[in-house]
Amino acid sequence: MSTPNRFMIFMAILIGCISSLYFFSLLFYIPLAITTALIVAAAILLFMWILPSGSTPDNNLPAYSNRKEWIGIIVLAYGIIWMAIVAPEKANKYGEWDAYTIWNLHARQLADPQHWKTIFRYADVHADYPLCLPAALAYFMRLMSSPDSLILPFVFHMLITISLPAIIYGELWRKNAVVAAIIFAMFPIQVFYIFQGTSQYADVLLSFFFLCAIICTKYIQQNRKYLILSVLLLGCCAWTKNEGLLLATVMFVVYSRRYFAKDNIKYTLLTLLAPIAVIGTFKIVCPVSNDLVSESGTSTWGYLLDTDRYIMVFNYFVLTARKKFVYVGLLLSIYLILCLVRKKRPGQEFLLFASCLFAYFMVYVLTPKDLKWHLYTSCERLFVQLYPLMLYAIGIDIARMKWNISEILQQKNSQQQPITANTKQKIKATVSTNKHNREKREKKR
Amino acid sequence: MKNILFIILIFLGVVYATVNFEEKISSIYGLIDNVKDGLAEVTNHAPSNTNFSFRFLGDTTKTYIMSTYARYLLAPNYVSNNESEYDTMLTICDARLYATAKHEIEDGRKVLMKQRYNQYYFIETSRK
Repeated sequence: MSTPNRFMIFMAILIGCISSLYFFSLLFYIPLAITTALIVAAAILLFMWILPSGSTPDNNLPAYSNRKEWIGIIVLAYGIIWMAIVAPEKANKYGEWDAYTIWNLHARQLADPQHWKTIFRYADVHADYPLCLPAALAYFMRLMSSPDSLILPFVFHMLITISLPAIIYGELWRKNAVVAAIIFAMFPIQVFYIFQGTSQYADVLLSFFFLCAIICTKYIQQNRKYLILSVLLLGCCAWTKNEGLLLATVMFVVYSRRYFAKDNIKYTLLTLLAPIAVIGTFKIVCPVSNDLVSESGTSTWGYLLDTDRYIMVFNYFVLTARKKFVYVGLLLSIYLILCLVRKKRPGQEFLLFASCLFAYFMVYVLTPKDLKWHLYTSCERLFVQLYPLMLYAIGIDIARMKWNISEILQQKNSQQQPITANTKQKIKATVSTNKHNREKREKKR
Repeated sequence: MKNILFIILIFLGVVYATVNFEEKISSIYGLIDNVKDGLAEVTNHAPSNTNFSFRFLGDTTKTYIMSTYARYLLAPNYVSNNESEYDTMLTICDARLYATAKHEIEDGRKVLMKQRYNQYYFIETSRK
């Protein structure tokens, strides 16, 4: 993983860490000074742990010429400037509706250490929503003594809105610079993404955590710290929104071979204790239960057989994708055609995206709320949560494909040619060299 | 890639957007700003554990929006629509209706604060 990406993962973990520590400080009446000292200590430790490359040095990646490196930086700068220009134009002074009725309202409540539990007295402001975003905002509000600040939430959300495409770009760039640039461009040109980012909702933050977790899983085999980071980031997802719990569950299922492999399972389970402690404590403290859970009964399961609901959800999904994510259909079509032509199955990341989409689909089918209203009020935001994942999944798969004609021909020839004795010897030699290298690496560890 | 530059660019983007955003919001004055100005005195003198009962007299389609604004602006105070659990009553009244609604608003209660901002009167009264 590249250094900038490790930095962004550090940032993501730090947000989770700040909000958790602040939440506990409210709960146990810990003064702000002590909380700040704890947060600073945690930040230093996390920085020292996450930033060093460990056994996945950057030089494992192909080296680019100086000129190519600068082109990469220019593309990044261009995209960031674009977003930085469009975002303030789209942003509302106080954020959008849910910002001042839920997220920023919660943050303002949490900024008062004496009366923060007032939050739970409201029955209609989703007091059951986890506190990652509001607690992090509240901590900075108190630190800067400015609960009225309109700039603070904007800065926070802007940082996440820009970091999310940047981390995808950083991940894809070494694999295929052109694909990375195209995927990165899908963010600034998708005005709806920027609008959602600056609306001061928690969806883009959730998406950021989720994507960071997925990226970390790619490096699990090289360094176990990425396993721990990935599990912590999934915890952050669940600590941000209730949907995060669903996404984390889907992730654990799809990537079960990595998380629950014989060598990894104890690390996964031990790391899970941290988010479970935070979220579990919140659920105990919070007297309000989730509206979807509390309102659903045995009759809800009857919806499973109602085909009209499936059709309605499907149509709304298609309509939302066409209306709000204009280029998605085109990109998805190109990707699927490429997979067909190359006779290649979609990668695990795409499988994860499809599973998450299916999970959301089923939530709508089974919702106890009025289906039309539920789709109308939330479908777009759920798509925003999965939009970066979809782009990353497509990007990484296309980047993995061989694009050099000579490489393709070579691959085809090697498929067609019968294996000669000479080739067999070569394969044997490669296998033994790989084995030797692996043993060496393990010894080093 | 130039690692440090990568990170610096992200932060520069945030700074640039923030400067533009600050410029933009300083020139915008909406309904929520009107309510904010009207409630400024309330937020100054009311302790943060006050339970407000909220009432809006005016265009009924705005009632819910107004109560939401009041909730946000008066946090961490509790702003309820239920009259039984309040310490003080907070009324926002359309200036055009004030003359006829005055008796109903004050109705034996002590007026703690009353001021007009643009289109609305903001009145804080004690328990009956």
